[in-house]
Amino acid sequence: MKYVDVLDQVGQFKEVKKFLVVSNGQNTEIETLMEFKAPKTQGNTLIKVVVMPGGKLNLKGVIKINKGAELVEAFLRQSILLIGENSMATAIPELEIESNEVKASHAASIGRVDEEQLFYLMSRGLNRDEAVKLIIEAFLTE
Amino acid sequence: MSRFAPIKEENKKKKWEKSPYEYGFSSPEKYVFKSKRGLNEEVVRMISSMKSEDKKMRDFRLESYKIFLEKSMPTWGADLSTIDFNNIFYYVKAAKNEGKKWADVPKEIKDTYDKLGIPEAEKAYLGGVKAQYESEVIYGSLLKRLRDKGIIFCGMDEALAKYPDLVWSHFGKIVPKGDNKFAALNSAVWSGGSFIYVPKGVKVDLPLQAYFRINTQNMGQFERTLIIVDEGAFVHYVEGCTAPIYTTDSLHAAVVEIWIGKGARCRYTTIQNWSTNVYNLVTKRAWVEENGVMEWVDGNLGSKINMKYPSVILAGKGAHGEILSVAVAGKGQHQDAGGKCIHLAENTTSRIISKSISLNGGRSSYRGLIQMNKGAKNSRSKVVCDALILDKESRSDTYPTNKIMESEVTLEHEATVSKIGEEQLFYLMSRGFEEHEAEAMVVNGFIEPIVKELPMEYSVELNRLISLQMEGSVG
Repeated sequence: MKYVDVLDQVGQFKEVKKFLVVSNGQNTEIETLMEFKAPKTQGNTLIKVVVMPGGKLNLKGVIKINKGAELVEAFLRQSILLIGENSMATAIPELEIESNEVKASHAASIGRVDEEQLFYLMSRGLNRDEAVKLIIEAFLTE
Repeated sequence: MSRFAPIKEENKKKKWEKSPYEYGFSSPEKYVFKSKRGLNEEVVRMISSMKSEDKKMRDFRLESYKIFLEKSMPTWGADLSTIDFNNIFYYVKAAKNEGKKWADVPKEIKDTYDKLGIPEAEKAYLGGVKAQYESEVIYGSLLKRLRDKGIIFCGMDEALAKYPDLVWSHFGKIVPKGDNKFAALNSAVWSGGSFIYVPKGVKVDLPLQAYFRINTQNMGQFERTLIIVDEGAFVHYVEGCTAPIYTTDSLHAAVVEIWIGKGARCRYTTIQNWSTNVYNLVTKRAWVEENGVMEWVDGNLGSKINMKYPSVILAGKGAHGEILSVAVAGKGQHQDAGGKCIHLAENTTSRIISKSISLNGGRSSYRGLIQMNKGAKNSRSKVVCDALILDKESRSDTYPTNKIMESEVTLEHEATVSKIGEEQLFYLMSRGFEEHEAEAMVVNGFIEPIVKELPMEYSVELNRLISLQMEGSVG
């Protein structure tokens, strides 16, 4: 899957949010590209993926700011939640900046279910599976 | 082009008068032996026989040469198509033997090092020094009290002759000869470099330093360094590199291997300041055992094209790797730098901090890898790369790869690219600083987390070099 967003009008603003789940046996490749061709554009991409046990994810995200695209603000966030054993993920956030009046940044995080959150939910009477399910739901809500 | 104040006439002049690279002088080319231009099997055999090596090393070189021929040029990074392997001198020997005192070193070479300030630095704060000129180590020293503790610090050739078992125990194992094209080239024609052995539990309190200098035109320098830090030991190794400015290109392709035992720690500091006609293509890798610590402090200022990604393989439980990298890409330069951390064991941690600055049309790229293999439970890693672009002609890229094959881990990566903040500049200028001074202050503040990890003399030097490069580059 490849998602391409081009900002080519002066002052354009774009916000992209994607939430996905990779389930058992799936090998998913996702690439996002946000290209800034015009000045004063602003773009945010948020991509959140849950990788279930036995799932594989390859996530690439590119921010490209072309020459002449001044006063651009670009942000990309990749957030991956790995569940259980045998889940794998590769995150490749890339920046290609050819203009200097810009602010471009990205953040990527890969993590597991927080033990403390699990503990809290289980102390409230949920079993482990229910607690994990709730945490996944919360992760995918933003 | 100033944003807040006009540039004064006297400052304008100053910029053009200052030479940006002060190590660009060259000494007359005097040598005891110089190979013909170009590379073939004969040259590899000749280097081996010049060093009177045994069959094992000769075969190692010849096999490596074959691998070098088979491998294609890497195309994923900087543009290397302009390297002409047949126009390079692969072996130049400038002095007969390695001197133990500065007095034994030939005059021209000694003058070069005097200009670079090496002998003074040695007196002031170093535990030992190696100076490599062209292909061979021409001077070496080590404090007696360090020698008495069993520390070995010598040229690689000397080490191979004196301690073959120790050398072969790790030589070519951390960076195998088939690792990449330039590692294969180095394995075939390597000459010089340092060998360090620190025995169990010994902590080397003063840094050991190596200084690399290329003088000949179209020279290829292929030093090979191996550092073995035994259980519970510590060493800090510092290297610096400079070369004269020529219109033709030189090649520097080094291999550095470091083995860190249980609970040992090694810090490796590089200030790479080659002239802008040098291709710097270096493979550096450390293998870390249980609870060991490896720290790379990597400063990339010089060279035409630089491709260098110091790596840490965290092989033992609880091992820690740290890479601090700073790159400054000026006119005509491409700094493709970064770092790699590979987590193989449980509870391993790593941190990469990269700071890059692009100015006057330079291009800087961060390229890195974090890999966590299956079984590397409870591992953590954090990567931060920040880049500053100072003008319209410059470019900055970030190419990180985070490969996670184990679910019970934490990884964080963040990167930002920006220009110098107008508000910061405005504040400093309202306090009476000239624009370029204010810019230099912001840049120095930007790289401060890395500079503060350098030995004092180097941090002063780095700050000075960056403000020199910065002059006349108003965003």
